[in-house]
Amino acid sequence: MRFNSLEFLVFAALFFLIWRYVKRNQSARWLWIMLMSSVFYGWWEWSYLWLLFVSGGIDFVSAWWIESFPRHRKKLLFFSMASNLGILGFYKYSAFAAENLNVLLQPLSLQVPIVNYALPIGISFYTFQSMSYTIDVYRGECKATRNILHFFAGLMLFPQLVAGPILRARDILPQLEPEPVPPDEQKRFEGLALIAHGYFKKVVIADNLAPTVTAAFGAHGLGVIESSAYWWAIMAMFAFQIYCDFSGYTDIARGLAKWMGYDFALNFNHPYSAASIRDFWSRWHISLSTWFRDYVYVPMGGSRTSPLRTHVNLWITMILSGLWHGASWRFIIWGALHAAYVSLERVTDWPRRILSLPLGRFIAIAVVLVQVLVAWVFFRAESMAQATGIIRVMFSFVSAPHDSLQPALAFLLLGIGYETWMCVRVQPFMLRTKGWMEPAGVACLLVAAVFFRGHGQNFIYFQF
Amino acid sequence: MLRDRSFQCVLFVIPLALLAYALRPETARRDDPDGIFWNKVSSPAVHDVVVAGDSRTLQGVSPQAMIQAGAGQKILNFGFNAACLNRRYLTAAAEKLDTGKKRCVLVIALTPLGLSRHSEAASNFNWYAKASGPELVFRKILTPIEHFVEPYQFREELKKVSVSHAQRFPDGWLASYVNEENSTLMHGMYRNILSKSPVAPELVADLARCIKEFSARGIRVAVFRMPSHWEHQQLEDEVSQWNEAEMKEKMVSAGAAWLQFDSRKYKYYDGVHMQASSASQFSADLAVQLQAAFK
Repeated sequence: MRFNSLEFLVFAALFFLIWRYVKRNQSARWLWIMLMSSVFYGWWEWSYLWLLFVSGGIDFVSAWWIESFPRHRKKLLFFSMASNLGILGFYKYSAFAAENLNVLLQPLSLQVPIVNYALPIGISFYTFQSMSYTIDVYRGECKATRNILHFFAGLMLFPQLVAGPILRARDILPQLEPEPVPPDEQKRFEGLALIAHGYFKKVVIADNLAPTVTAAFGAHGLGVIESSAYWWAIMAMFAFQIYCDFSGYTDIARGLAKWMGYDFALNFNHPYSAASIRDFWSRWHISLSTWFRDYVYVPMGGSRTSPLRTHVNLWITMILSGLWHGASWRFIIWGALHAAYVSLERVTDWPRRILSLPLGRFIAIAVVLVQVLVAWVFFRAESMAQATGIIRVMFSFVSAPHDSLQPALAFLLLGIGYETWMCVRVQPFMLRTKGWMEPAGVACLLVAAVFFRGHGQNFIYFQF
Repeated sequence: MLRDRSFQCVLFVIPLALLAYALRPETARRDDPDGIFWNKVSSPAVHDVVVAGDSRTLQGVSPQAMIQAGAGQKILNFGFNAACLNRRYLTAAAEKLDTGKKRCVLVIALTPLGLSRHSEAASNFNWYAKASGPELVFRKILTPIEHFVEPYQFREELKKVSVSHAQRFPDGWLASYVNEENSTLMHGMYRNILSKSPVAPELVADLARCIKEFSARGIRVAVFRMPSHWEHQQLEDEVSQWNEAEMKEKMVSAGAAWLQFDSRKYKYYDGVHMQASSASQFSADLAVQLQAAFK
């Protein structure tokens, strides 16, 4: 079920109507979350709901046994990780692996059959969330819950189920235990404001940019339009489309959680105002980047080893992060490019040097943006040939006639203006303005989300 | 409660939404004519005249213009895209009439395509007719809300839409304003369909039986061939096996009044569908002929 659908409005109204009554009783509360989250997920495809229960069930049992049978904790952790990664690999990466294996086996005239399975929505999100629970229990950073309803209520909590933020069990399970405190006036309004901002970003900015971006990349069969300005503009549009799409989703999720009486951590913190790539990754999809930091980068030694080993750790982490997004060489290259950027930063320390210059912060932001836009080409392109063609045109600085970019250009400017306003003036945005200005501003966003909405599109991150 | 900012927000939303609605130009609305059809299928049996037919009727008959010309008090345009004039469709149209009134009239606009096997499968009416009762009630509530919250149209096509656009009316008329006329635009499509799927004699026979049954129930029936550009009419005559004299005879002997129109009086943007101004004129002419036929 999409947040930007009529069904969801009916669903949310029903959920909160009953929530008032069930939240007092622990089991009823958890059961209600599970039931409604199953409806929320099953609305897309009921037949994949079992996968969520199997993946979660493995971690629930593994974590319990890790605590109960410490002698076998390593084996149990291995079992949990192998099962989760096996399921993820089977549905998400098996076709990609088979394709690449066939290339290697070609000289031997051997072939592996390629089977494309429909990717269960949100599989990467809930698998990672579920796995982190077992790892945290293994490390002793989190107590295993003995109540399966408690565990699944945390895993399935519908606002974050299909596109994050990736919650840590140690953050969410303790919140779910006591009766949630009814949100006071401040929390209610914060929730409403987050939801309004989320919808505005998704349906006004992202959805109005989407047709132009889709048309630009969809015309790949006709060759790449030979205009640098055109592709820089398209990439800027895509950058704002994906940002507003994804951060819009998490804003709505955080707002809904607030209304339920829970808190989800910040997932985006104005990433396009980053003054270095490392800064960018501390602001972009924070729940995923911290997941990779805590469960991949740091266990490999992180930056507490030799400089060369640190670079290797970094590259492995970034490439895996790229692969998390999808089974394609384009995502791997996207991750590798970011790894190269961070490596370059570590070697040259260019952000510090630039920041010491007059207007250094603006120059640094511009340099980061150029790097990020170039990497986004690989993320969004339909093929490697198209991606390399676009990169060539972007840096050839040629000009050629192309289709009008209106009205998407206006929405790009709106997105830039909105983000600049939010970033510069309102951090956090609810706390600065006083009196009637706040509710009036939120009302404007809600009305804009209704009357200026683009054609309803699915959230981009659902596909991951 | 007034100090609650969420409540204050709702208070701000109401005037802002009304303002956004009031300022939204008709031409800047998305072309989503779905609601008009839901309205038709869920319409109650309160009409004294119902006009049935395909997309030519949908775009060519303005109930408001007919009322102004004195054809009745409550008139419904029951036209659907590619509608097949079969028993199922005609029965649904007749159900919209208030048969308690003495002077209720079912008007059937014939086209060769509407009497072909092709339209029996392609009729848009089939899709809407499948809807369940609760769905229709839900739609009935939803349609005005959808209309209210329709977003502004920002796409590049707006430039074209502003000179060629469609306007929906609650009485079932879809008014078309098209800048460039091309009387042969539909020739290829019609030739292709009608040569493979000409007028079906079984459908014509069943239409005649329906008319007899309606007449027996006290419903007066008027039938005519929906006008189109003379070149198009010629094409239809050539490929569809349409025999006007024979058709007229069958309809009249079944109990219907046969109406005749001068197709050259009206403008068709694609050779078959009328411009809005011509639809108003045609509707007034239809009203006059109905009054003459059922004096």
